[in-house]
Amino acid sequence: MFDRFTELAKRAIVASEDAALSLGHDFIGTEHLLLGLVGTAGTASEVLRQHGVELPRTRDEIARRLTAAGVPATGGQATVDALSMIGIDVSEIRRRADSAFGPGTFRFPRPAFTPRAKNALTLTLREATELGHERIDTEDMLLGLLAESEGLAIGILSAFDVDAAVLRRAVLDRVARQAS
Amino acid sequence: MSAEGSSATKPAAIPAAAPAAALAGELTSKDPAAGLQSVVALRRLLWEVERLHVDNARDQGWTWQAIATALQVSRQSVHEKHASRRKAEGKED
Repeated sequence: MFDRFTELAKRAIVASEDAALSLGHDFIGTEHLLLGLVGTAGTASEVLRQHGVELPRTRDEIARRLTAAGVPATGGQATVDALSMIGIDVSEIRRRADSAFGPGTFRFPRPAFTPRAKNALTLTLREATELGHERIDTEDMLLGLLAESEGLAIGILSAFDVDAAVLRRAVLDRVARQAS
Repeated sequence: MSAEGSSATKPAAIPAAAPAAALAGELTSKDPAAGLQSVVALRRLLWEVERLHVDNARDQGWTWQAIATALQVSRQSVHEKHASRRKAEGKED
């Protein structure tokens, strides 16, 4: 799936995983994809910032929403505990993997994409195809994210009075200007 | 990091090294919630360990075919699972 992603788009994906991990969430949702885009250079973050979507408040709003919804921020500790119950010591594996393969090579529990985040990435490919983009860049990712109307990312944007349709138009205008 | 940090405050109820009988009990629990939770935890661990060893094999110059043979899966399946991920992580051209 990520073969055709530009360097910046790949960085935004990695930033989404880092965002989920640092917030202690055990999954990568559309909200983390949004956070990854805001925090990574490129057209998406420029358009988002122009509409007042900035890193600290986006991060705070996500943390606030998920905490209110009762989503644990314990970084997948339940999974680590479940393995501990059957005699598997995750921190010992991590310690040894760090020394055998280098620090950070064994990340556990690694957050996985939610179905909606996966759908946003599928829609990203579709948006890129429609725009005739051979490489997938951050603007395509933002369009894909906005097209996934069920995702929490849209709710976060609404909290900042940013309308998905308006943002979509701004991205398309920007893309059209860059092409001309 | 977050998992590491909170493991220090792990509840005392979870033994550092549970006896073999307790381990077997956990895996054969009649409580679906407990049994299924163990399955998911093991599956996620399997995925991370697979990723670690596929990366190591590629870094040591193994072909996708050789890795697929060792994992007893098709070359296509291992390639689909790992090649694009490695590219995204800048580990592969």
